Amino acid sequence: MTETKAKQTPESMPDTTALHGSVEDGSAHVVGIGDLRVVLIPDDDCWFAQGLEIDYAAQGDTIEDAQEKFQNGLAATVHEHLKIHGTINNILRIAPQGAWDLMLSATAEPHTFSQVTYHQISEIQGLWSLPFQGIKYLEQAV
Amino acid sequence: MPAEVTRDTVIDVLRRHGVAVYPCEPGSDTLVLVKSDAIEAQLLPAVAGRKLLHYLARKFGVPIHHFFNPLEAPRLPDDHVQ
Repeated sequence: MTETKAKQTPESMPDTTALHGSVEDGSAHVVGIGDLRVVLIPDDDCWFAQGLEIDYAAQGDTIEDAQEKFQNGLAATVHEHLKIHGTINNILRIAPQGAWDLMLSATAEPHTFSQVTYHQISEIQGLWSLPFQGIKYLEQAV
Repeated sequence: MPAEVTRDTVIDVLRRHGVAVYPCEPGSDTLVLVKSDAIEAQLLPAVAGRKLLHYLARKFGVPIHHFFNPLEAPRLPDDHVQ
């Protein structure tokens, strides 16, 4: 029997924020993403991390590995968008309904993870750091 | 359907569906996947789970069954006909 956990409704969680600043010539960018929620889902022998307010996902061997792959992958994805488009506009797309349904289901267990890092891209070549503040990981109960 | 879909198969099927796949940086294991507006970086695992496959299929417009049966995926221009 599946244990029922208290749901964390969207109203009870902080709003996700994203900011992007750049120098006039576009050679340096600062991107920050705050309070992003990520659903962690067991998938056979691994874990799958699906972002909600940003439709990005990654797979890892463990919960911690999935979180790390998600953060590093999203940072690199931001970098590629800046290289190609110069903006993060195309990243800011929410996940489909199915991912949200997982979070709203009784089996979704909120798992809070916060990380404060700083990320700057110089001359669109080097990835130095990216800020991901207050990523909220939501672990689905097994 | 085979139980496991390896990283090489995932990359091959993505490429067959017009996804450009290249390293994030020279020598990096993180790959950049690009098709139209869909651009993302992924450190693909040695074996992809079902949820990751469904995610990639949705993001890049790949029929999910092609990951399990790559021969059904479109041929690349440089594929040799046996």
